[in-house]
Amino acid sequence: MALDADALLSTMSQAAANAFGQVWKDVKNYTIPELRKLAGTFVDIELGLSARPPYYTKESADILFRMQVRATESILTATTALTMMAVEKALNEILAAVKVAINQAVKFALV
Amino acid sequence: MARPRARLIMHRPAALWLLLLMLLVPLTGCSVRLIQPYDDAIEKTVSDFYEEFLRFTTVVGRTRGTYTDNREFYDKWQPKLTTLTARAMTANPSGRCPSTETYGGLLPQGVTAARSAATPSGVRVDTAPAGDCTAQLLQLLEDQFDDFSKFHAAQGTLGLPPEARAPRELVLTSVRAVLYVELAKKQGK
Repeated sequence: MALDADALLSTMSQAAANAFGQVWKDVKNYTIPELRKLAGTFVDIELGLSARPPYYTKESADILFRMQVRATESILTATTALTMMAVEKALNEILAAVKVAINQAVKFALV
Repeated sequence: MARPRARLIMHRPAALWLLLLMLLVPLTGCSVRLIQPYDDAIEKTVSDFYEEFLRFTTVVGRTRGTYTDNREFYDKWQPKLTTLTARAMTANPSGRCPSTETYGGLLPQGVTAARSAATPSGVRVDTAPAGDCTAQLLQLLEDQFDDFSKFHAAQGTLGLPPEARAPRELVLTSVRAVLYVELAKKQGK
């Protein structure tokens, strides 16, 4: 059976779209609310330093700023991981989607 | 001059199929894996840490406990988190988490520059995390908890005041990052 490139492309595109649709949902459900919470910590540090008496020392506030960079890294790394998982899923779904057609065309179990 | 171009166009479908085959042949008979699979030990340990950390900050916040009075908590959890990072690194020693230096241009100067800017002079700057995304998330959590202990020590007699939301929230952000990814793996997203 001859392979139909357009049909394969359509199958592969659909598999990829399904997988990547999840990434956007994750970004909406996880990344954006987490970044919002992070923004609240900036306000708290400012309040802690300006309160009378302050509830943060200068030294501890320096450490908190460093922790903010790391918390941001955690959020972005998790988002990257979720994207990697979507890429992994897309690759496997694309391969699975075209497996039968390709194996029939080459007449042996290539994929 | 037109002949080579015509030949190129004529052979394009064949070249595309050859490229597709070159991509598929190494993948024959196996699925692609870009991130380490779900690990029950990571989910369980980090969930336990989440609960105990919440309890610790609530109780210590209520009593304004100092670092010196509460070293036992840090002595318990620092080795546990270090072990978890080592476990993830060992599971995928050559793993990488792409684009985590500039996050695709979101941080133009790179994370290392941001870390240096946020680190007072004379204090060690974190090196770029190694390993795949799971290992990096655990390393970030371990470093975050280490800094939380330094924060607590730097507070002296102020301890952890109940109105101080930032330190707890910053650690919990790193905890949730690990849990969110691990649970997404478990659910097969």
